[in-house]
Amino acid sequence: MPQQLNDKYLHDMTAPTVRPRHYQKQLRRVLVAYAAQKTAKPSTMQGVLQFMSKPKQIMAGVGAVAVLAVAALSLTVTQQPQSVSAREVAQTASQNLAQMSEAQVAEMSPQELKYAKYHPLFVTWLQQAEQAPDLQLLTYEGLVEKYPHLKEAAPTTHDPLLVIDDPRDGATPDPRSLRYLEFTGNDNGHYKVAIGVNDHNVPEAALHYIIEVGVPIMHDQPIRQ
Amino acid sequence: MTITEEQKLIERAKTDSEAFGQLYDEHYLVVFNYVLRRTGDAQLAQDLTADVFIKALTKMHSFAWLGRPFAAWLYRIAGRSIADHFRGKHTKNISLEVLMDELGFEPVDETDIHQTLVETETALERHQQYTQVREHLKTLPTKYQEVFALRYFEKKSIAEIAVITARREGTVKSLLSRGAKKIREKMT
Repeated sequence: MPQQLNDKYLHDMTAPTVRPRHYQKQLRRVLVAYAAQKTAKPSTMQGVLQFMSKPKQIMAGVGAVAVLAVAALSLTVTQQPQSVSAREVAQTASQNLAQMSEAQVAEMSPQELKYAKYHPLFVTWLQQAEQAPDLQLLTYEGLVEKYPHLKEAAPTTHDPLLVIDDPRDGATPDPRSLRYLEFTGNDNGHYKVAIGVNDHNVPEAALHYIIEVGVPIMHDQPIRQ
Repeated sequence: MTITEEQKLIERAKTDSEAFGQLYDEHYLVVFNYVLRRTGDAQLAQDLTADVFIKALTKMHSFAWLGRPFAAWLYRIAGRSIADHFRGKHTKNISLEVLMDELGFEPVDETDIHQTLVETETALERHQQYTQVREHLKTLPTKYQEVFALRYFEKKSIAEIAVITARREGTVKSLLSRGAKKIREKMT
């Protein structure tokens, strides 16, 4: 402990400098991807749409459907006022399905058809969740029944909220372990996501989750039968 | 980067994601180390630094150039994020380990993230003088912490601190003097 804490002592004191290169690179990748989604220009989306209208053998699987829907939706959103409600986004996605040709719809698998009515970014998330049987998806009603304290995060059914419940050992998870975050989606809608895991914390990983896995926005609708 | 170059880059960053990436490259280490020095916690510094750049990204469209360095804005966001965290207003997060194990999230490369955290913690431990002062500083009100950290951890001038904290230079000097006195009293 210093004899005297004077100005010279404080100026001479050196604070650490660290270069977390790998974390820095990782976060950059996620942020730039997110920024790209937020700033996609109509002309860019036009180009994507033209590309996506080519035969489906260019891209395999549901990814093509999801990207087509995303492109169409993004073009629509950029032509609208900046604030778009979650419900409007979902409705637009459904309309996209309605506007697809019979031939395009006929080529879709039952799974693609099932997901096409949801927000297109949600499609990828649902697919991943389907492959992870430990994840349970709850409606708003199921959520607040199970975790009443989360009503603070989403007081009414008009607040979009999705919980990914992760009971690792089959037991009812401790509601205190639930984590949630709030963010502005790429349609400028405000979303809240509660994710039931413990351990600590990397918000950029959550951002990846939003960008690459999906934006959960459906309320008042059963997410899984 | 000159002020003019920075101004142009900021304008581009409002619509160009890669331009925002360049701003990030330019300022990441400054923000990270500032948060690290204020908090003394490597993981928290990572989280809050990400928080700072996410907030900057979402607010870029409304950023108005007033002739002050972009870093000053980031310092201010960082200060608020730190204050919010210690007031318990932080957002909850998810575990990267869980995402990697269970949902297939893949990091940029195979480097062990924990190794980075260990190196950061080691660096923190090596600076004992700073550590002692920081621990006492954390017990003071936020207004003292901010100016003190900017002056003695970040080596900013009084004028720069005044810009970052939006205070008069006289106020900054006064806070520094009173803050140092309070820490002195705690260390004796």
